[in-house]
Amino acid sequence: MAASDRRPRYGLLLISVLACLFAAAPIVWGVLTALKPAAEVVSYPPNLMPSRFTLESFRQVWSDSNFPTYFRNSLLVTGIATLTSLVVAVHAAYGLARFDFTGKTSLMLGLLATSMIPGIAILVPLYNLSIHTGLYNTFTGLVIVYTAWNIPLLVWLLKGFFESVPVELEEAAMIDGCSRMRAFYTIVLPMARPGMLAGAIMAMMFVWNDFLIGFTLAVTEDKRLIPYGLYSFISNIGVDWGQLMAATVISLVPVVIAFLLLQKWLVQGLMAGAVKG
Amino acid sequence: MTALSLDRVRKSFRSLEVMHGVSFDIEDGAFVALVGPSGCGKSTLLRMIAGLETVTSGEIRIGERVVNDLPPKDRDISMVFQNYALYPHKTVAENMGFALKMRGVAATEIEAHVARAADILGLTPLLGRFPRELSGGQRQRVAMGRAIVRDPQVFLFDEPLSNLDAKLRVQMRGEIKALQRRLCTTTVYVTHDQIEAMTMADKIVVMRDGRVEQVGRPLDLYDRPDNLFVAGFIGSPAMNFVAGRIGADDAGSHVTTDDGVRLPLSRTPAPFVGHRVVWGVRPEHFALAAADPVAIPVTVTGVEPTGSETLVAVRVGAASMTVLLRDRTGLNVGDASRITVSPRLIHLFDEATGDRLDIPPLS
Ligand SMILES: Nc1ncnc2c1ncn2[C@@H]1O[C@H](COP(=O)(O)OP(=O)(O)OP(=O)(O)O)[C@@H](O)[C@H]1O
Ligand SMILES: [Mg+2]
Repeated sequence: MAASDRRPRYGLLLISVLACLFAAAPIVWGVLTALKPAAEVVSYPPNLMPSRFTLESFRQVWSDSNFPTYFRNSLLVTGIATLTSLVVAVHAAYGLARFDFTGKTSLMLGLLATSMIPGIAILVPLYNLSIHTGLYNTFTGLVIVYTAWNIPLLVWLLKGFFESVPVELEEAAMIDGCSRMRAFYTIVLPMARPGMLAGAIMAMMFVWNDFLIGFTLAVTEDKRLIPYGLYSFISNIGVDWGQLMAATVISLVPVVIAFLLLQKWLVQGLMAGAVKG
Repeated sequence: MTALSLDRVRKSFRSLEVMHGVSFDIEDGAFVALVGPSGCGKSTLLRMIAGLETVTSGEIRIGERVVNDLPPKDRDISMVFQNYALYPHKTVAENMGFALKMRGVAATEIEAHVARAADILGLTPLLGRFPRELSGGQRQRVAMGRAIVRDPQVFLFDEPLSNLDAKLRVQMRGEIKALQRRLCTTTVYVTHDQIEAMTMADKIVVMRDGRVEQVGRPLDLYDRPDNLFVAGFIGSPAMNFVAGRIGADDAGSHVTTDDGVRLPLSRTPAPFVGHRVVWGVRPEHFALAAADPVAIPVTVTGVEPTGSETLVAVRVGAASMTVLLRDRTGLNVGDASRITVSPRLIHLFDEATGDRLDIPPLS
């Protein structure tokens, strides 16, 4: 057992490398394209490596287009929507994990059912609703829709995490002087942190990448989000591949930063030692 | 003074009643063991005292206060859970100091309290560690530390030793008892291990199926069990029981088993003659008396020497009994012999109700 564990597993390594290449290839190509001089971008046959590296495309995207506005909007909407989804879902999930009440199963199934509805199916109703409520083309409207969209899956995910925290820990905290809510915040939440971060990343990625809802509900230049911004580099007079790739790379930056910051908290085993057996 | 009292406490989960009116009082500073078979409601009762489970009806008082509707944090109790329930993201010191912190005690004072408790429990070198870095016994000690760091009115222990190996359990048993003597804090200690209860407690509450069967000092329960259940539960190896009918003739009183074996009995007043009873004797109260013609004839079916004592399984008529002898015997399986018992060590129980039958001695 131990011996076979120590033997290098070339097969596994090979598969991992191939998987990485497969996932990274478009990104690498995108980054290289973004760094090419404008003339080389569309040269045929295409070169993978630029003849010289230039930040020209990035400069154009950042100073000659509305992309910085989209970028700022996306950061804002994603940040707030992720936060609100998490706050609501954390409390809902805890209640569902710890208390028994009539209709609980139906509620959970109802939540699951709503997250199975494809977004495009309710796009028109959402559009009408937002017009009637005066939330059309506002960040508030976007945040509400994204939050509602995220909550069901987050609740399901977090409920599992809360259920895995031994209930005795909360009881011990309540005997030690906490109210139930305080026990939840000081004892349970820190332990469900991996789950919360996984949920946060999920929610964030959904909002950051969403095209459909943003495109429908945010229509003026000052409200547009990144996915629309990327789309706008594809116009009827052609595609500016250099700028499109530069904008794409820029839009990747916050995601990469978020992953780097959060990944060390995603470690498992926070629960070790709490209870015996 | 009464530190804790339960008055006709009942508990139902949904429509199912699991606690059928439990009442007992605990004096200040006493160590009370709550024993009973699995599922009898020990944990539920303890959790009701702690405030983790609602009381369906009846009254629980801690000191002078009725605590039925108080949240756990206001009951001035501390509890050690069977699985310890240490906060995994807090160090040993933080685990122990948490209750004080929640009560707004100053940091320096917390440190002093924690240091003292750690000293008592020998945890000082471990204060900076996390629970995952401790052995089972050490975790158990931290759980104790968390309970004793503040000075509550009542300690509640729910089978705190059941996760430890046999040797450590015996050691911790002594330590907990010594600790309780030293702190003089009223303690309710749940266990299903009657030896733990006998050795540690000042008073034992024996429960079965959500009812209290008997409350008393350990040796009183041993000497005068109120009913068949307590008689069989307290004491190891368990008491021998044989059903029969009280008879009397010229030779004196006796119990005749259904297959005709005569079992000894002290002289019994006439009204009891003919009564159906269960005759009970503890294994350690029998003596070998091979030469005594009136002793009970037995056939040996098993011999288990443990070195210090010998456990002999015998057959009396159709019934099996266990005899515990202090010294070695030459008995072998299949041998016929005789055993005696002093009449004052015999317990009689009403066969119909299972209650102890106290027969006034004939003068
Ligand atoms: N939350 C609950 N819902 C329904 N029934 C329960 C609940 N908790 C306990 N019970 C029932 O109450 C009875 C008493 O349980 P309890 O846990 O108090 O037993 P116990 O004496 O502590 O047993 P053990 O020695 O196995 O720990 C059991 O019949 C159990 O099935
Ligand atoms: Mg129990």
